[in-house]
Amino acid sequence: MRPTRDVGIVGWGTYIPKFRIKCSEIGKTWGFPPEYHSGLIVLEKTVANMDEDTITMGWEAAKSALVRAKINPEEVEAIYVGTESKPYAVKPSITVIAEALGITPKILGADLEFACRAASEALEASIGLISSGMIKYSLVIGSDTAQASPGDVLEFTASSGAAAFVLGPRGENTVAYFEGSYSYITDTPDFWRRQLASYPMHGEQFTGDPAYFAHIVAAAKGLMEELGLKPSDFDYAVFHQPNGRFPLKVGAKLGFPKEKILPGLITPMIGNTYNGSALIGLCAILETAKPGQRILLVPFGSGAGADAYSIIVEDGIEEKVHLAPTVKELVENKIYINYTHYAKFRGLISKFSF
Amino acid sequence: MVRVYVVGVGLTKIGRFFNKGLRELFAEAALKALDEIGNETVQALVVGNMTSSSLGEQDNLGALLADYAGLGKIPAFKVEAACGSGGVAVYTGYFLVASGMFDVVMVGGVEKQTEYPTRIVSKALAQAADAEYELFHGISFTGLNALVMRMYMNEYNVSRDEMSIWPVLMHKNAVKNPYAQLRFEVTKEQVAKSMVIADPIRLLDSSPIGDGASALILASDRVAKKLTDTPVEIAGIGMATDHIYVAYRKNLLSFEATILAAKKAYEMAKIEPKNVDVAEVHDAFTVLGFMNLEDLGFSERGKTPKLMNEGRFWPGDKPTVNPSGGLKARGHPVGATGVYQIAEVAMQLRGDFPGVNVGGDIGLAQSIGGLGTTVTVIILKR
Amino acid sequence: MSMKISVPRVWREIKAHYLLEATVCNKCGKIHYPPRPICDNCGNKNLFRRKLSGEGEVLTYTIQYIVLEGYREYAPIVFAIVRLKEGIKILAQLTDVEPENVKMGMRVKAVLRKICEDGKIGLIKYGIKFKPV
Repeated sequence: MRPTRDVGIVGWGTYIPKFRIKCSEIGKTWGFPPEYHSGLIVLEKTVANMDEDTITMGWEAAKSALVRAKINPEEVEAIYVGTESKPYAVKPSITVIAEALGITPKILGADLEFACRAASEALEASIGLISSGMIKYSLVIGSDTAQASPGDVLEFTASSGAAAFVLGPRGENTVAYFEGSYSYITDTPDFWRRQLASYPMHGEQFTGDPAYFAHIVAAAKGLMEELGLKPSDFDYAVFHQPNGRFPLKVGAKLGFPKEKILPGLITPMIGNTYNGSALIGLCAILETAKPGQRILLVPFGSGAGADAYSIIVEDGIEEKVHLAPTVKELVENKIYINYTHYAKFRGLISKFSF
Repeated sequence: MVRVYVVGVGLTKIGRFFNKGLRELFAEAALKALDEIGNETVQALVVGNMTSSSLGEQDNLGALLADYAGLGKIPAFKVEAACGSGGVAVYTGYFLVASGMFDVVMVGGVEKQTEYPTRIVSKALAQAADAEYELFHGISFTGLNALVMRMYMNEYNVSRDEMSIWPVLMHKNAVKNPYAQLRFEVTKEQVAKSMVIADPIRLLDSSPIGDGASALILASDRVAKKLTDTPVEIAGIGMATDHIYVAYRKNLLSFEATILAAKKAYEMAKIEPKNVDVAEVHDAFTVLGFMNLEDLGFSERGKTPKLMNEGRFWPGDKPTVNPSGGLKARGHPVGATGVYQIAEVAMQLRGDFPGVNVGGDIGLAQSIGGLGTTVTVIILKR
Repeated sequence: MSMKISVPRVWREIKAHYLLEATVCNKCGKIHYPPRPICDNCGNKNLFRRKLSGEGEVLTYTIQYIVLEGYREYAPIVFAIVRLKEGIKILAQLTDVEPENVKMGMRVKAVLRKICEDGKIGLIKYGIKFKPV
């Protein structure tokens, strides 16, 4: 898909909580064989503080994105949060974030859900809104405090984090633009959470070939065919990263060498931030890419669907990198906690309230 | 204006009285006070209380207590200024008599703080702060005071050990006071090692939670001598308020409301701080005790802990501070405390205070609501 | 089901709590936080609104172990009076810092965080806390 007018990224931002728990600590707690998690290629994951949630993390990533965008925040006319860990089942997260950014009331937006690709869906919607001329700037946030059942293999990777982007018409203040995109969606129940369930269910091995791999491969191939591109035309490839292994495997399937994938592979150090996953990887790449380079971005969401984007980096990106915390700085700012504190922060145990 | 005298007092012991409610406690104190004036008719009742509504589901407290104490269908109302309600009740009662409209007025103070576990009582007490901008964040009243204690110790270079002298003196004085809640001595080590509530405030830095009631009979000069041989005059009275949001104030190490209220009281009584023989000041927490003495003009800024460690303000000194044991050890049934203080100072000047008795001609009582938000200073003369 | 957090109270204070919106006197320039209807310095009723910077340093702090009903999971809570670079002082919690690492004079900045929740089904109250820079 190509819009009639090009749309680009004006600013980007990330928020990564500073508390971390090692996978070995989780494994020990539940009696997993030692190094069970090493096959996942994830060392440790982030844990949101007790007073953090999707809204507070999304706000902080959005603040960084606005700082890099260098626009008057009040010029933002749309705001989306893609998440599967909304603080309220019914009550939007975007309203609290928008008030806390001072960008209400003349604004449109909503919270979107499609597992880990909801924020990506918001990117697509924003491209449409901007290129049609309906609005000038849109703020897209992917934020999650991912849940996992204690003792389930998912607990090794389900983590917390957020990424945010200010999108606008391609022009003198964009640092990268979308060359094209391609979406691929089917009803594939690989991972779900019923409304009142605390934790998700998943199909274990089923989440692989029929879900993650099938959709990412289809979307990426569809995009490359439409744009007439090959893997060698891309300098980087960022995929949804539920662990450290899948992105390398799907990259190989598509013909991308691991050197193009590693710069955007952040999950080994922070876990799977769900809606933050591929997008935090994209932020990491924007912080090292050079003008003219081409990035393949393919978020995936269970249920299932994937979107593939081709993004071309423009001039001016390097000046914006250090205006706000970088992914590297946020990854390195960490404090380890043990399982007891993790359980307290994640609400697995709570003080009995009389 | 008419001159106003304290002609009778009544106090209950302070403690945890699960078997007595607001009305029982108040009646106990009121009947004792009425006894002292030969059960003469009281024409109005002012009651100081903070938590009857939040913890006792009881409003309309004035009418309830006037009825229970057998005072008849007289004008009766509650006044509230958080933990300074008692002082404000005395302030109000004074003007009822001074206006010439009433000859005999009862001023009472009563508080029940033991109806619920501490964490619920703490929330009610925290309402002394700014609800939308301080309580909103979850800070307790102790937390607010702790912010000041840290600043005080840091600014004036006072050690934990030096600060601990205050509770030591208070407890020593309270041992002899039959009305006091905590009648045991403590050492500096015990104070410094007691449980942290809000760092740096420890358990033994804080006034205890307790129930109590006290009552005064105020009379005009026209009838005072008929009711008692030992009337004590309210010679000076002052009250002031300050920004409730503590961070908005310029100086956090001094209560401007104390300084303003004291100025009015000293001027009216035509005295200076050095003339005061005995003072009951509002030491809800250790740091406040020291700050109050500085604001009242008894000592130099930041020097009070050192002075007290050297023996100043102990019984026999001028002024003797808190011979009752103060809020720390006599106790602090919040809304009643200000009334207790006047009763105690009156008894000191009458010569019949049943604890540490220092006598004298001029006494002062200071009552504070919130963190220096509402302050009354009252001066009594024999 | 009892409601511990008042809906209108939380709603009408949003700008003051999310954005640190203060009033400023356009006659004498005094900044007031919390916002107020009349300048307490010069009596001027013509005040305009301004968002404070959120950047400042810790003037004093306390580590509160005995916490109030509704905040019990968060113990111990660090409260501080922060002096913002505009000169005005704000009371708020500090977050993302170990109590033993808090120092007077520490540089901090304002972040949006959860203040408390009314159980599992009541409102979530958001506001500003400060974290070390």
